[in-house]
Amino acid sequence: MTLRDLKIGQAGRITAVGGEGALRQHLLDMGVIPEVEVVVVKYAPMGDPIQVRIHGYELTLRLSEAERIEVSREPYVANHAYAEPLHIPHPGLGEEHLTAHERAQEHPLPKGTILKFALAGNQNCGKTTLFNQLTGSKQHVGNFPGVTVDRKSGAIKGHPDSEVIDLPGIYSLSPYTNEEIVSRDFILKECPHGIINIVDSTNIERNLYLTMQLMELGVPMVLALNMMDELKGNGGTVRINEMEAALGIPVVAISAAKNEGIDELIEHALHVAHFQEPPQRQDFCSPQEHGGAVHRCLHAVMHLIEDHAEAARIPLRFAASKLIEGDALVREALHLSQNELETVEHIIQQMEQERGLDAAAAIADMRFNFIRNLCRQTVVKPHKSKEHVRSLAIDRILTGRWTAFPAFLLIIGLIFYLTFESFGAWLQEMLESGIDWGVAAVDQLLTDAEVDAAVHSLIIDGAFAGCGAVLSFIPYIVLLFFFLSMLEDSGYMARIAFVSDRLLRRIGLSGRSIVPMLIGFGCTVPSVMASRTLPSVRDRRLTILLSAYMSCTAKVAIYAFFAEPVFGNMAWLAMVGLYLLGIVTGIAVAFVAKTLVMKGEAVPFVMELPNYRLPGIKNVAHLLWDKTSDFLQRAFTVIFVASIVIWFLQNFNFHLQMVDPAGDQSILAIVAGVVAPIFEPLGFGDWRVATALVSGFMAKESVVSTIETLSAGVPVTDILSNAGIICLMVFCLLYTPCVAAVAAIRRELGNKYALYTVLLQCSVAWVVAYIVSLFL
Amino acid sequence: MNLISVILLIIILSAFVSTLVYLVQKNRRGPTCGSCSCCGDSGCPMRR
Repeated sequence: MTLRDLKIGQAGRITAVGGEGALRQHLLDMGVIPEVEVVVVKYAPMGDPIQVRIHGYELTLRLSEAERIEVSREPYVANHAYAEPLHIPHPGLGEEHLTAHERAQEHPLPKGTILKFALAGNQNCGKTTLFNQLTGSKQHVGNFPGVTVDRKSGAIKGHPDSEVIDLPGIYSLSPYTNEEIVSRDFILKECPHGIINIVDSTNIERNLYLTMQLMELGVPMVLALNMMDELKGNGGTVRINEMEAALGIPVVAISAAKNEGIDELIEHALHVAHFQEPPQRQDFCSPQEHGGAVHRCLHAVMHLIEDHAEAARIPLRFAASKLIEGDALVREALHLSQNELETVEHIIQQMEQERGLDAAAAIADMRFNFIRNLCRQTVVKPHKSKEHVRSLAIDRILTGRWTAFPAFLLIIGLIFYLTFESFGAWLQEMLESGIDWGVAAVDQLLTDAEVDAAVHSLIIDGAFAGCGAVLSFIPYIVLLFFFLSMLEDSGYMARIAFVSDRLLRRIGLSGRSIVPMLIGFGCTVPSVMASRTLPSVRDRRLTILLSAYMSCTAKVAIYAFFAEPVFGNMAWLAMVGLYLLGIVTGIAVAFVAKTLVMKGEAVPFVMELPNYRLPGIKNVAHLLWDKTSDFLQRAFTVIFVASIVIWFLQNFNFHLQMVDPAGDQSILAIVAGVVAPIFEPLGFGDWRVATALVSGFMAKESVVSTIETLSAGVPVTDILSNAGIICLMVFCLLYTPCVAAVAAIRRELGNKYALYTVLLQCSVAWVVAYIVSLFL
Repeated sequence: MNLISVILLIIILSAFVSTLVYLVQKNRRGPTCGSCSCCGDSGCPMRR
């Protein structure tokens, strides 16, 4: 009997986990291991994937994966005794620091050393909230070398001689995704002085799995038990002193959202890092468990590879366990001889025979056994989690069979309405009139001061007209990012992936691709970067290809500018239509690419469904500030430069004499006149439009500023017909992404693919705009 | 051209040149990189 055969509400005990390679390892890392109980919660609206409850959390996987998991309906009977709960007296006054700090192993760093910390944890455990609490507003955003994985860092508040690096949210240190490889490479190669491991205490069993792997790295470490307020609110708790004693690292109960326990966490983190106190425990295998098969295997391999691990600078225990799990990267780094490799193989075979499980499952089982024992000794579980019950109730509608898709359309429709019509439009109008007033005031000042006509024009028609036109669209951009971050932080984005998986599989993608695609509505750059969470290159390529068709917020400025004069009050509906056209075109392109070029199957869909949570105001504010400042930076750099250059080209001829900017004697008019005929069949073969489209490659907002600058006050409806304007909007929707997005694609997939993307999108845009022109 | 015009022209031109220099530098260290001190990329000219 397999997991697929269980009906909704039925429970089963896993007896074997089939499959192979990275996916199987990922399933094991997520806690899908033999002898664990699993309950089927529901099926997605289209009948696939399936939602199950395991280790107290919700996991989704496809039926094809569920088919490989064998289950039995017999109850589990432990063949070994669990440890009894520990009882350790609470430390007395002034003894708080003595429990988990081993003075004998201290190697204090010289004073003045900048203490570097890695902040590591599972996804959805409150890591970003903790990072914001630790660092405040002083954060730097960059990349991990070689890959486009975000690297956020910042000094701990009040401790300028420290640096916290926010690692990506990961479930284990197995090389399943780029993020997991980046995280372990960072810890192994950049040697942070300490690790702050954040754990969701309401889902402690699954979260501690990563903790154990981090402890194997031998780096000084502090364990932060987040969401303790929630756990205690539901009647549960964690015996902190007992957990410290069992793990040999400082354990601190915190609530990142409420800023509770953060000071104590910082104190412990600085202490272990400064005194270089490694975890007192790294050995989690037991000689008593299942005849000690795993224990003997691990220790035998450790002895065998000791010199190789030292030479490769990989912590011994970590190297041994990864080698046994079959981690190809560690195996390669160790440079073992053929003889040694064969010996390792023999040791593993012996263990598998004695344990009755394959090596990867045996190691995962050993870790989870330790965790189960630890939790029995130190964790008082709540009877029921209010947050979980609430999530299940919400999911009855948001992932319900008949309600999931209408709810999704309703939510997205509401977001668009609020952003582009009601609230957003009001804010935009306010800002626009403010900018117009400011420009008019400066204009008057310059006139009064009898400023030279050329300089006057440079300031007003060049710099102010260009930047001002773009700045007025800030409300749209900020609001759309606000709603997207709300979707992501609340946990709804994961539900959208669950609901849409089967639909996306028809175009060769998995539900996980929906996240980068939705982010694409905000900005293509983070959307391209978000595709890194997909474990297959094929899926990453296809997702990036599709994401580029999701209309980014910068294009909103273009639509709003052109739609208003043509559609009047119905402009917002035209904008929704453009968004839909982008989606349909993207799907069509992806479908053709899947059929002709990128053949193959989508990556497996194994994903956690976190409880719904209200996003933290601070987190959202941080994100909005990031996006707004990024937009302002672009407005005052790229667009400023582009506006000045365009003003110059528009106002001078090839003999550097000033000419009429609206005439056809300027450099710009002559050059753009060469390109313009390409757009003649589409109804916008005007040199000013051609110039605007070229400048749009720098930044999409530039299209508007360029048209504003070039039209010199002439309404756009006097330059183009209504049909031409509509075709222009369609072309802008689909043509090449901006230079920043192309650069992100180049970093992610290489030069060739970035060039293909640009050429493909321009061609598709021309063809679709031409088709639209035939109907108008 | 009066003095105010000259001053304004100098301000605009220096803003233009410094922005251009900034953009060229930013492009050299990758457009997705937001800070010059944290990238770690070995090819980055701004690497600390």
